[in-house]
Amino acid sequence: MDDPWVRLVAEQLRIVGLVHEAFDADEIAGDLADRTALNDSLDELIAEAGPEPDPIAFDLRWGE
Amino acid sequence: MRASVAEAAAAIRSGQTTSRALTEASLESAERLQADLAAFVVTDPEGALAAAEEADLAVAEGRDLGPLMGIPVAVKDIVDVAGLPTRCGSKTYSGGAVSTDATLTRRLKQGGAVIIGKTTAHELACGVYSSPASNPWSTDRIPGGSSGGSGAAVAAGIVPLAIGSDTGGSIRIPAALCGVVGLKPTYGRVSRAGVEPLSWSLDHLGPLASTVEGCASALEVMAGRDPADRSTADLAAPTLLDVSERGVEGLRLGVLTRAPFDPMQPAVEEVMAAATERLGESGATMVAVSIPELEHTLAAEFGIVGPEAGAHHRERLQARPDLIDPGIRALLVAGLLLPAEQYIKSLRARGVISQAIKRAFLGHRLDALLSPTLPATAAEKDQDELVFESVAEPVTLSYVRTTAPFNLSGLPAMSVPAGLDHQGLPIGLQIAAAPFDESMLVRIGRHFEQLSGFLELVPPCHADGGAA
Repeated sequence: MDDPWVRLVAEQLRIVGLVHEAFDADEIAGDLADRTALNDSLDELIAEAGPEPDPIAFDLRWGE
Repeated sequence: MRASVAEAAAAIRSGQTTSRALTEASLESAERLQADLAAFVVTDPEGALAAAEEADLAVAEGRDLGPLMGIPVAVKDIVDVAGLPTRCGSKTYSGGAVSTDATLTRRLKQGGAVIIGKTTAHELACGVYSSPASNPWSTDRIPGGSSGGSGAAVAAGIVPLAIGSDTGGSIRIPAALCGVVGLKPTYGRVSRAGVEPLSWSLDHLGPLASTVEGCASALEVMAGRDPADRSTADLAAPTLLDVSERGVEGLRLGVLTRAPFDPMQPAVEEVMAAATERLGESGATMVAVSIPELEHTLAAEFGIVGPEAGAHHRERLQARPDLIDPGIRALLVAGLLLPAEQYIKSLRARGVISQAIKRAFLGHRLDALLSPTLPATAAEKDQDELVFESVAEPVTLSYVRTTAPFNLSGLPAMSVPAGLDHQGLPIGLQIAAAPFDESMLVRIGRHFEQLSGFLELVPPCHADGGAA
């Protein structure tokens, strides 16, 4: 719990109402770091796409 | 030989059999095979037999209830069926029977379907194991998921048609692993009203059936605008069955290469090569297609599922986290704690991926894209990882990486059985088409189904006694 990142996660858990022994801040902090790294891998894809892609994703009317 | 929806409906209409007889057989085999397959969480003999008798009365009176007239159908246990509980494979759902049908259920019934029960789903429709359900081709292996019970029930011949949902592949994964046909329609084609969500912008509903024609019949009944689900497209239900015998001559089919479709098991590679060769010999032009943007499929998929599922299940997570699988719990927690910017980034990535697929279709003038549905056959129940070229990969990620591109893009995609590996486990061919062009899936799928010879194959665990 000395790790500031783990302390932040513990605080976040409390803020969103996830208060239960099932939530281990240490373990969750590690998982979030992995997920953030995976998500950051999208930066390159988005940058290469040129003008900032609109987050509205679906384009299902190709004939129009 | 598999019983198809069309054959069963024709037999009922001609008086060769009755809906009651078929429904009794389905209920009997569901019960008999439950110890081996655990495909069902609940059956409804009383309701099913009443519906079957209604169908038989309609036949006697010369009334046509629709293409599913009198056909026994199973529904994944995330879809509301009046009179039965909806439990989503989760211990956190303890409510009793629901009082209203989902729109999808209502349409199936209006099309003549006899709902015999609800099938086993992976917990919260968020996984590929669907425990405790088993694969009819090898009962120590998983049926896939999250619509695993639906895949197992169709493969085992308990029903010719079942309903599943697909957020990252959950119709096509069990279809491929169980050797049946699974069709994920275009986003917005089928109403999700009355269905427990996982991820609103990725969830799709569709059929799993013993044949392509069965999926087509079901989709014709299920599809169409629904005021109760504003995501549904303002389009009439498609007409699919009249295209099913047109063959593939003159079509241009893109064969997807490199990641995320590579790496794959050697047997999958062999079956894919044979499939594309056969389609080429049938007159289709085969075009190798690489879409590098698809390498980011998993990052985008999980960056969307987490926040959407976390938001939906927040109260459940707060109240009884101990009743939720730790892996799913981690995904839900991440969805609630990670910055919103990560969700936005994933949505943007989805846009980039969708446009890349569209460019591939238009640039190569393609009628459809082909790939292996999955890079591997069914994992063992206690197996955590698959190994490709000495590199281990979690089972769930292996299965989702090839199917999720078409959840992110919303494009229609179908898995059709293509062959068996050396252990006798099914391998699926995935066909994806342009938006709302499910008829192209049916056309190619039907032709390929006849080429593959897979319809003659029966798994060892089957209602009729199984393979010799």
